[in-house]
Amino acid sequence: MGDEIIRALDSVDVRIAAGEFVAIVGPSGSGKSTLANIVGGLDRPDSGEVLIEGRDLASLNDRELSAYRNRRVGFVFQAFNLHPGYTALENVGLPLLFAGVGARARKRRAEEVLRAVDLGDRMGHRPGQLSGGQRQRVSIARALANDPEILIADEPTGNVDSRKSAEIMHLLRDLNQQQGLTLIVITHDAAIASQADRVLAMRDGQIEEPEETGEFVADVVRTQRKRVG
Amino acid sequence: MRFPDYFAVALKNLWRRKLRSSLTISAVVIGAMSVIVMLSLVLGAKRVFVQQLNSMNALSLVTVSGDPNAEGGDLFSGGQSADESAKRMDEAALKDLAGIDHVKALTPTVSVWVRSLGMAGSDKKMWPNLLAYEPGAGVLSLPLAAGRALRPGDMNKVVLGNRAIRAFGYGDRPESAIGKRVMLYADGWAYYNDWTGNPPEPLPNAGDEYWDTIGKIQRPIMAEVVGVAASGMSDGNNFISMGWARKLMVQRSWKFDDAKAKLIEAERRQAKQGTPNVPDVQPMRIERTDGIAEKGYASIMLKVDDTANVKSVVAAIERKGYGATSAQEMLDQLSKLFLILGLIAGAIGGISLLVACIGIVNTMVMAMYERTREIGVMRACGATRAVVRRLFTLEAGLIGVFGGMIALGVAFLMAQGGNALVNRFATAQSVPISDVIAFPAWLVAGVLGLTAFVGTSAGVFPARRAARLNPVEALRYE
Repeated sequence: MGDEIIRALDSVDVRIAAGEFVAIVGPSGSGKSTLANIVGGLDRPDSGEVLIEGRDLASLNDRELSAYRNRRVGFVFQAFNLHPGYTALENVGLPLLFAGVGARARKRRAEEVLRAVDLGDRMGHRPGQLSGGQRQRVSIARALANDPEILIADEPTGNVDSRKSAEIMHLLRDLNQQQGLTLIVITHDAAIASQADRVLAMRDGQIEEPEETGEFVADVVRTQRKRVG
Repeated sequence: MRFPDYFAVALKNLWRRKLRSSLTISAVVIGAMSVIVMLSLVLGAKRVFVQQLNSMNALSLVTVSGDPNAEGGDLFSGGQSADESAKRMDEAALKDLAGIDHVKALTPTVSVWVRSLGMAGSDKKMWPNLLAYEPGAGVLSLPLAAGRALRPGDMNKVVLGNRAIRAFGYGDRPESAIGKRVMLYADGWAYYNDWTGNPPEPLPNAGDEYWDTIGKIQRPIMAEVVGVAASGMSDGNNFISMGWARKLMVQRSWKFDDAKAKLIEAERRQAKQGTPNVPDVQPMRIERTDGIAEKGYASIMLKVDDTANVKSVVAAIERKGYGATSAQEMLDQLSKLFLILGLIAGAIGGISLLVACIGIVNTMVMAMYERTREIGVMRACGATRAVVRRLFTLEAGLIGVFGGMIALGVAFLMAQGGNALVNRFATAQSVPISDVIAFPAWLVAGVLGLTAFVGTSAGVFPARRAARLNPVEALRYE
């Protein structure tokens, strides 16, 4: 068992255009999250290339990869992953903190993003004092703090009720359509997948069938850099 | 990430777990306290010693004995030796030593032997050291608890030492002993000397009773207490002037006089031939035995013009074949001893600091498990491994520094209280010491540095583990 190599991803060739909204669907263990994490620079592929504007993420060192996650990617998690001891404002300020933004500028920017997700009146609240939908909006605000180009949302509506789920998807779609944010959403929900420009269905680490609009380029996951926000 | 933000985040993390942080910090406090207490005890002991030497101006004193090999003598006894190679400590030796460069003043010292010392109004008797020196020579300047120092012409005047004054019950009020009379009890024949006078002349047909009576009875030599020495290096010594000692050391006794006996014999023969009333005279005369002239001084004490020259003077003395003891030498040796003691004490204190260090490691490893998910989020938000590592290390280091700071604060208050107590006690006991518990700046800096180091190094291992966590797995961690 220990020697068995499990391929989370196997020969996945996918190209994602800047500003695209891609939904990744598939059963548990099909490699959805692994794909998203590799695109987001959280994980590294054992082989192959992940090209962002022609630069291979696999060739970056920890600092460069961290900077990439920090500046160009925003993550939204199913479990929100907010810091329970921090206020909404402090949670949103976290990526700014790692970007070396000073305390005052951090606060200003965090306030701005929180207002943008309609939480202007909840800035001093801790996650425990917020509803599920509000928490997810805080985590979206956190993902947006450094004005990234790519937003990766792993089951963003998995922990909220259906009404709030629609609100969150609405917010994400707005960011995609109005600000040109490249949106990668992992979901089980067909309704959400149906809103995407393209759906990547995964099974056993492979993309099952190309969707009608997909253009595939061998060994490449690519986004085009475009300033958003 | 900006430098001040590291502190803000680390402090916030510590604050979040108040109980655990304070428990871990208190372990460091205990560890640091034991290091501080151990070190300041050793430092304090050294300080007491140096203060006492200074208070007697002892650091510029050298005690010369006749025997170059006599070891272990303290400042007041040159270590008298029966060695035949020993040089005689006499007037010639005094002149010889006075010729050495940098010798400012010198005095011979002798120990006067008496059976016991008593005090008027006290039943207590004790066996005393009576040390005589030349008060006018300007060598010894004893710190006094009460009264005055000896003066050159002082006869039957004594400066009592701390042990005697306590034995007689004046320990806490030495000034009341001034003017009181003390009795130096001497055995039989030893009582009679140039100060007390001749023993009673034996009667013509004096039998054994006469000799027994004189030999067995202890008689007191009276003296007045003029001063009380402060407690210090030589609590067992009582001091008298050399002038008086010279008289006390010349023993007087009756000896059979051959010449006189012959004379009497001749007179007796003449008497038989006619003259009837020849007075019944004993053929005895008084013999004076000068102990100092016979055996020399116990030692010669000299004062060097500057403490810096003590070493060269000691060397010069030893070249001349004498033995020399200086407080400086003692201080040098004691400094080494104190250094070793300090290291041992510090190591003993360090053990509890080591235990505290393990406590920090434990706390930080627990924190790592607890915050695994948080670490994952931090990494997803762009924290590098180095940032995670630095945050954990800093947090551990802060535990150490806080522990050190609190320990120093507590130790400082304790030292204030302790010194106040010791000072009061010392004043009451007329011990010339103050502020025994030392708290030098290097100790403060050293303790802070040490606890910071201990904390930081305790953080290294957990911080590395935290930094190496796979962010994806960390985010999935329940």
